[in-house]
Amino acid sequence: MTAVLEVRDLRTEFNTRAGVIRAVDGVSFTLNRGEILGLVGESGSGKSVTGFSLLGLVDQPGRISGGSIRLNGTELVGLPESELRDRRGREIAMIFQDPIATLNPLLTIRKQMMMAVAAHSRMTAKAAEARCIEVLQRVGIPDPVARIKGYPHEFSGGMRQRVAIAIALLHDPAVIVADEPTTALDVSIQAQILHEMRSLAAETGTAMIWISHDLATVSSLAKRLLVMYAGKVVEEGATATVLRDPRHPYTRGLITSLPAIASPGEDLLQIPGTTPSFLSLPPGCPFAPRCDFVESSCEKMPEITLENERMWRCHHPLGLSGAER
Amino acid sequence: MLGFVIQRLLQAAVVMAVMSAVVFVGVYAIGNPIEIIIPPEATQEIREATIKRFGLDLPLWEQYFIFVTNLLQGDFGRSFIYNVPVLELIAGRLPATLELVLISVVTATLLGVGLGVYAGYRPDSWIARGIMAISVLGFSVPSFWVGLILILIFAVNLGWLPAGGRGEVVSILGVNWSFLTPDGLSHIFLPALNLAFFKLAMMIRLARAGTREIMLTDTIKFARAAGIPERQILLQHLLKLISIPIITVFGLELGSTLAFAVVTETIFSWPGVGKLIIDSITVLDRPVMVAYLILTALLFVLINLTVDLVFAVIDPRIRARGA
Amino acid sequence: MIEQQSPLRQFWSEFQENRLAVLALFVVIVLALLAFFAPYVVPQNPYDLENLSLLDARRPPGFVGSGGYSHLLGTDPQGRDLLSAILYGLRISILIGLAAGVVALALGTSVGIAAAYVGGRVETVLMRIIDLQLSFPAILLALVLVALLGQGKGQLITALVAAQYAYFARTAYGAAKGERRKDYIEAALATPLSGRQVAFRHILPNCLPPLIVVATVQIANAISLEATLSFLGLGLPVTEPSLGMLISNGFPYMMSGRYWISVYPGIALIILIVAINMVGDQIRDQFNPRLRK
Repeated sequence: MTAVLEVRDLRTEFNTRAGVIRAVDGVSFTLNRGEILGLVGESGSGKSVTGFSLLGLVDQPGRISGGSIRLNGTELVGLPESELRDRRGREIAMIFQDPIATLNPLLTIRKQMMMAVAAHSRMTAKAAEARCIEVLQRVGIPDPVARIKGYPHEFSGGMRQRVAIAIALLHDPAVIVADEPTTALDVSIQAQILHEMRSLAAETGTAMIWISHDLATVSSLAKRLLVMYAGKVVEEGATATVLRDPRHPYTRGLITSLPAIASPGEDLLQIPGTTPSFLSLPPGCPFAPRCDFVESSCEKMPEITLENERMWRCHHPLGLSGAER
Repeated sequence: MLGFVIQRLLQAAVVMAVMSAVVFVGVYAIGNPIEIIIPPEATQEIREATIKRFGLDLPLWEQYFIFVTNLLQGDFGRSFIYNVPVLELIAGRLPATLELVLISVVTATLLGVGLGVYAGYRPDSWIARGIMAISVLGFSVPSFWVGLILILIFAVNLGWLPAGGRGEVVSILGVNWSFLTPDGLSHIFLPALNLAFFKLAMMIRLARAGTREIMLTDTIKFARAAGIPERQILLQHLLKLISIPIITVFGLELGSTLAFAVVTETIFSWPGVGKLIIDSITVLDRPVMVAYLILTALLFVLINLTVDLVFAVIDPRIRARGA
Repeated sequence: MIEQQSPLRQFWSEFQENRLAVLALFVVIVLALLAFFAPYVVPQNPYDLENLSLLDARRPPGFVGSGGYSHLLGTDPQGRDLLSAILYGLRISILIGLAAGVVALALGTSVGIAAAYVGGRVETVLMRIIDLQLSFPAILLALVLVALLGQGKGQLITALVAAQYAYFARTAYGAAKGERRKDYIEAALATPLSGRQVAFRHILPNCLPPLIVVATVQIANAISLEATLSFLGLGLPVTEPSLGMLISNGFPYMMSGRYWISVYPGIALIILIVAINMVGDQIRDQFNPRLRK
């Protein structure tokens, strides 16, 4: 296994009038070739900002304030914008939640794809168009030769997302960051796209970071899970292990609120409370105010525990003898 | 596309019918022109003859009917004061106004979009703040005052440019134009600047707001994530996306600039339609007022129609809906 | 813990963060006070023709006139002390702007809320008229109305209101329409409160923020429009000159270098309008949730 992306202690801050928001606060993980990594958490947990940080696309007034991102062995943090630009779309690409919002409604698919090709390679218009059509075919657009001349509004939501995925795949990047790419789609189309993404990752060796608030979709796709809460990774491990035997109470909360987990007739469990504001985080464990197992030690920030290829950040992890009461 | 055009044309016709009635009644219901056109020492016979000649003895609806019938034949009546056909009067003044308005609006738009996009793209830079200060000023300061100051500085104190008139004109196809001669250009410079100032402020604001909004959209983020160079993002995505509000406002502004030309033409003694309408208002020359308002309304309708059609060309979604 | 503040205090503390806006507000208040107390602060009553001497006309700033005091800003073509005339002119401009703004606000808001509330045909027809009017430049409308109605304060205010109420109507309609769809209005309509009570107690307060913004801008616009009309000779009678009229009176003398007759009233006018607009801009930014972070 070769690591294509190594993230160490990544920190992204937003300097606002009301105070400093640490949206990404010491996130670390490693992504191997062809691997699909799931990044889950409620909205506002910092998972999208993590995704944007990887591409160096954090909006003002945000900035990466520390840590390291190594993509194919090159350190990205501190790299000048022109170098970052050169890697975006070529080595690391990103797709977004709403395919209606990502494609420019006023330009043809051809124009938008050709721009993306031209961003990184010099080839004749003919060769470029052939490349576009080839990738469109690969993501499952029927009759790409004709459809490429169309405008985004002529495509259905699922087809539009396929076009967006095609644009991300144009230069066979090592990593694709997928930020809730199926959330806006119908369930059946969601399943199709998930299926195709899985085979694409396997065929091309492209690694993926699948960001979602929906544990169900992520777990059907990702080999490994990263659970984020208030800017920090609170649990990491192989998907099957984490689902079966969660360590962090927050992870357990996410699992028990899944409809598929609850037995028929049983009420769905909800995590009480809401995601805290980044500006008023408690001094210790950020999850403490919502946690069923809170005790005095939770007033201090829990350290990371590493064990058997798993990681968690909790004072009293579940599933270990004596910890649960 | 054809259905779209027909639908818009019908809408335009309805608006024009309503406008003509409103303008006619509005202008004719108030004020009595008889006192103005007939000298007080005139005999009763002359009075009656004059009233009859202008059709002022007929009931209002009948006057309107005659008015509309004539209108449809291109006859706007004769000016009470100049005693020439109104259309001829206005047509004679129109080129002067048109060249002034077009030069102003086009300049203001090109300059305003450029400055506004910059101010929206780098909102915190000092240049952006300077641009916004200009735009606030342009918005707040009344147009006539800007004209006054321009005259004071460039005509009175510096003596660089003339303060009024059209200067030397060139006749092309029987129409006189100022902007084609150096002297005419020096005459049109100040009034055009005056007229452009407010539009510039408007365009800056619009382009800045549009840019700020669009730069935050996923379309731009996605383009950036694909590694597309910033210059292309600005030229291809941004300019295309902000063109929709810009074109709308460009159209509307073309109309309102014609209205504002009234003020500028008065200050700079520019012999255009605006000056004519002010003179007509002060002497209650009804046919000229009515014709001016109707023609302005027509112009507005035509501009709106054009804007809609241009939209259909730019935005494939509208094209699809109209088909 | 963050201290719980009343909305008004919170608004003010946010407003204070923009120094320029505070300065602008201060300027507006000072100008309004000067205008209001003009009769007590000016050295000369510019309306009292007995006081005026044509010998004193068009004198430069600093000239000591026959009245015995020096005219700080010079005199106008009628021999009025320009400073006094400006303060009185400011008084008229502010008065007309406020009156037109308030009447247009009341009329426009009523029309807008009525359209949103009644719905159906009435709504369609009313809003069509409003939109049609909005596509027509306000200045033209005011120009024609003033020309037809004749000179005088009442006529001028009527023309300004007619030219401006549509902006309020559009804004109120938009806000009310948005509110109308919300659940709490449906709930309020289900209670025994009369429809009118719902409209006034629930819909109106929620339309206020955008209306306040439009009102500030429109008062500035009314002042500017009045000045423009007066400048074109279609505003108030010459005996009680507003700022626009003062500027207009001085215009013919500008060519011969007697700049002050036009320039000083103009400066007063611009300070007033720019200051009001700056306050309005700040209020708009504060009400705009999209710009808040």
